[in-house]
Amino acid sequence: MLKTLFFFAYSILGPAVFAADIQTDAVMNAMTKELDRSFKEFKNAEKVPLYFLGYEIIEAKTYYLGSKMGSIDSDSDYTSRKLDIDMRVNTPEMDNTHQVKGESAWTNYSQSQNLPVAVDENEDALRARIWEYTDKAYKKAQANFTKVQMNKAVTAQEEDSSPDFAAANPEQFYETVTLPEMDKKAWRERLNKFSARFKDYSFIYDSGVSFSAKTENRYIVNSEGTRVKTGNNYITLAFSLMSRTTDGMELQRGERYNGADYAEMPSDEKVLADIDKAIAELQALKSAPIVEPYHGPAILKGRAAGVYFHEIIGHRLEGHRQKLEEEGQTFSKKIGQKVTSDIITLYDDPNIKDYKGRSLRGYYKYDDEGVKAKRATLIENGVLKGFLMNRSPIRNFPESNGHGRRSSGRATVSRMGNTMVEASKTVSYAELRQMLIDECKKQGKPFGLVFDDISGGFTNTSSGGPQAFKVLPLLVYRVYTDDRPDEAVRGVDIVGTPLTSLSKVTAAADDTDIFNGTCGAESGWVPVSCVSPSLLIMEMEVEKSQKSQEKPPVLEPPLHDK
Amino acid sequence: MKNYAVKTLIASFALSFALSARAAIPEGDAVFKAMKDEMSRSMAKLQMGDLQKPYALSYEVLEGQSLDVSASFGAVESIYASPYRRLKTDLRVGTPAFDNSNYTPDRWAGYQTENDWSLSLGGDSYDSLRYSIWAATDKAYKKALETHSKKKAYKESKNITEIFDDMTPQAPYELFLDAKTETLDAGLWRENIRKVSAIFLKYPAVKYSKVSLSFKSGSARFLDSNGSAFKKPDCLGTITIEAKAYAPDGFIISGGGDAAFCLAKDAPALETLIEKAETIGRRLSEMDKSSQIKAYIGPVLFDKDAAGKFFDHFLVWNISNPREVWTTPNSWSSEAVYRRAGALVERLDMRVLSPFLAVTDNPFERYYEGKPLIGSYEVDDEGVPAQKLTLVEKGKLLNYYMSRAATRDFKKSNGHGRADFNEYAAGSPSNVFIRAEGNPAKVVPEADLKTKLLEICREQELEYCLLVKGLDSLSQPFSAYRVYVKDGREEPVHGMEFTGTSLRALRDIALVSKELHVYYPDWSTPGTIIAPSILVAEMEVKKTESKPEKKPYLRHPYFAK
Repeated sequence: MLKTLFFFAYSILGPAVFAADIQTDAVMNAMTKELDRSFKEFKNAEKVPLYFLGYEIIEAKTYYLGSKMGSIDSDSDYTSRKLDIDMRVNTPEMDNTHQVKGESAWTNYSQSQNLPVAVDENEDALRARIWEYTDKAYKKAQANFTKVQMNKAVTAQEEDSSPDFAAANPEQFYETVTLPEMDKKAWRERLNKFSARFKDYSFIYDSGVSFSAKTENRYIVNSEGTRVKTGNNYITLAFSLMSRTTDGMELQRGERYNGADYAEMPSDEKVLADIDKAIAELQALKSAPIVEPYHGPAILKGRAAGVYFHEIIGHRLEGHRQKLEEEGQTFSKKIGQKVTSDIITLYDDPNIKDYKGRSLRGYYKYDDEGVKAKRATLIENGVLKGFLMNRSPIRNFPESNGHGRRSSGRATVSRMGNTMVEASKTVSYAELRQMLIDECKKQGKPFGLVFDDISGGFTNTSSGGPQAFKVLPLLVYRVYTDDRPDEAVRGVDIVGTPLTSLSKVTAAADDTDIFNGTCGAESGWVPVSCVSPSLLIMEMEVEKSQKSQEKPPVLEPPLHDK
Repeated sequence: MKNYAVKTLIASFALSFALSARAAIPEGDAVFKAMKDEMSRSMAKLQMGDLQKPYALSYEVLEGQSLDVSASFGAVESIYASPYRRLKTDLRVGTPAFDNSNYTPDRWAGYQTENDWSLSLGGDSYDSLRYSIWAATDKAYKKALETHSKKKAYKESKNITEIFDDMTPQAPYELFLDAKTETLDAGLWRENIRKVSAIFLKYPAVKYSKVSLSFKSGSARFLDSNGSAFKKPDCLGTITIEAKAYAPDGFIISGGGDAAFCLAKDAPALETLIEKAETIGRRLSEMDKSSQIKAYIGPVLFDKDAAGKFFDHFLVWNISNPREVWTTPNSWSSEAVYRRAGALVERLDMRVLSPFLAVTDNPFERYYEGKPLIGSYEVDDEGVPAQKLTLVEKGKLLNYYMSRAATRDFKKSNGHGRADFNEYAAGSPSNVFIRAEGNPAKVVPEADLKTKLLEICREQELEYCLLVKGLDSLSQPFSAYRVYVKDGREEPVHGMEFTGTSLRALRDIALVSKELHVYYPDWSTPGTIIAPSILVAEMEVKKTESKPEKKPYLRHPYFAK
């Protein structure tokens, strides 16, 4: 089958080179040969037929450097290749992955652990491991289907009776992503220079600078004829610093610079200036007053607004959650209804490689099910239009839009890539700030809150708990309605319920910013981006954040104990 | 810190360890200086409010270079080389009679010291090291205060009549050895491990296989508030060969072999490893003729590594860890002991072994008949000088392994306080020698042991007896050989378990081989058992209740070609 395929190259080198490359690609050959053999032989090996088999091998080359207080404390270089198997028996309407009621959805995945394979280009060894793991996956798939059948027979009909698996076009694509060798010595020196900056401050209890350069190539083949090799580079320079208040609250500042190329990394001057700014912010936070629970107007700065959308609505628009029995299904039946301000449009498009010259971490060409990444229109002018879809169909959304993602060893579910928040009407940030003050006056509030930075958050989407979210701010300012200067405050989390919170978005600035991060969910950790302008929220609720009971260190840091 | 003048002279025993005993911490050593300065400050000033100060503190810093390679079926699956420097902090509050050790408030958190896994790697990183040591000490102090108060509450809730000191007195000791970091040639060993893994391309019966190398080499630095300090070499290399085949009924038969070493020059030759893999391949290939036996009562011959495993399981483990570690029961577990003391500890001065056997432990021995003994050390993980121990004489237990934690029988360490990096030190073995003494009739050449087995079988009118050649565990299903009395032929058998096995088996050892074999047990601290093959007079074996696997549906792709 493989020999007759054409592969589309993503490169200036042209398709011929890559067509030749794939013929000699040991990994692709091993996967394809074992796939063809297994699919043919297993198809009718038992009474319940095998109808789909997919393999993915994720090859990751990672270089990691860490530095603390002016000295390197981690220096490692590692390559791994891990196999994932998607094995489906019976029919797409009902297969072994069908959720057994009362159990988590992913327990029926046909593998339950990381499956390492050769990093050498050795077809025989690769095939031996693929054979070993496939056999186990087949046995598990058959056993799971027996369980599914019985569960289906003795429990009530699901509300959404969509099939378990959607058809998808076979894709052919071949590229090999590489990263030039880096100047390790120069990076060690840079990191030490950055991390030494923290030495002078007695209130910093922990700090560190890290650099990682990761190249990930993914090989995806399936019994429908998909043959894809695609990849990404992820380069990250990051620093973090931590302190603690006497009442036990942990305070953090930090910055992450992401890129797909070394050239995107900032200059020394820029990093050092950001470090100085972060140190000043940490110091301000240390003496900042604690905010009491508050309910009133607030601004989410661009990056914070991106995370806010990711948490409060992004995860709830993941397609598989609309049919899983234990899910809250907040938005399942709201298609065509207004869910937020008319000015807001929300979509997720993994095809966007960069934004305003900066790489987006959520960029990819094919998802982990071998489906071409497509733009998923989620909200248009405030009206809910669709969901993020993998190959698990839901009512009225029978197809994947290329958002099936996972990290090695996990079952694929629908996930975000590049989540883009756009506003049809914007004002300058200064005007947005004035609107905040005006709104506070109108509501009789002495101040509003500005959320400058958010570390992340968590959201409960299951029906077993309240449909609530919590977002964890790192840097918050009070903006007073009189002429007092802005004041850093600490100790608050943003809380709320998604439908109410979304309806309170009223205005946006023209200062779109990017949050690049890594999102964790049931299918593992995946790189994502959120792009959003600063937003004015008419009513936001904050509550006291949970803090540890740990006291600050008993002794001063050694360099400051004079 | 006081400058104690305890000078130690040790014979030059290893090519790469140049000895230089001094009475002070080496000058210009930034790591020691950071350890010493932060220790002095902590012991003088570390106190939270009016809570108690630490009464003892020790730091251990391990540093070096590691190399890990694994391969399967002729291809490398992972290779990882990395420098490391790690800190272990053991901080005690309370009194030596009753402190925060030998207790864990939380079964799930385990019984662990406060560690930092990534200290600064550079030689000139004093500031960074101080910072990390300060942070770890602060955490250890706060944890120790809480643990100590919970341990007190635990004690008060029980009717505990015997309390033994948690830290017995010890004269300060200093030893500074030249510890060089050795590296293995990563390219060469990548290729070696790959080549050994490729041996299984010749054995269709072997369905799954893996060969792994793990090597680390460097130093351990230690400093405690008692005035002890050392720097010593710290190295360990292991090579593991694992392979699996199927018996005709679907039971998985495992085959394995290990090699261990410390110095790079002692790493096994490629030819040796290849021969080991070939032996495993040949043995597993016989298993397609293997059958399951229903039951067996009679003599069992434990050959080489199987005898090592036998002594590990019944003897060595049970004279280690003499102090139990308490824990508070919670809603998930009613267990009040986190780690039990070795089962033979209560049998001091009693006969635990056949009367013609003697057991010693010698941390100073480095080789036995050219094979490296990986349990060797000069000073233990509590800064106590190593000691050679006589453990069993004429079958009678005279001694067991002691750390600085007292027991009913002993109030002093015998230099065997050892620990994995995460653990508090506990009485642990090093190089255990098991030898016959005083009764030549009980010792026969290795080659005659099988003949003796058959003689006993004949006397007992058995059709066959059992010969165990390799053994993963005495409490799991195992495979062995049926040796027929009639013609001495060996037939593989599998899917059986020992039943009713107890420490009694140690006293039922009837004969041993003259030759001793080096066995590398899987302990958390490196060690070796040097023991003869043994013939146990009677053991009971039953068919396992485990069910066999369904064999693979498809043929192995390589052998199906």
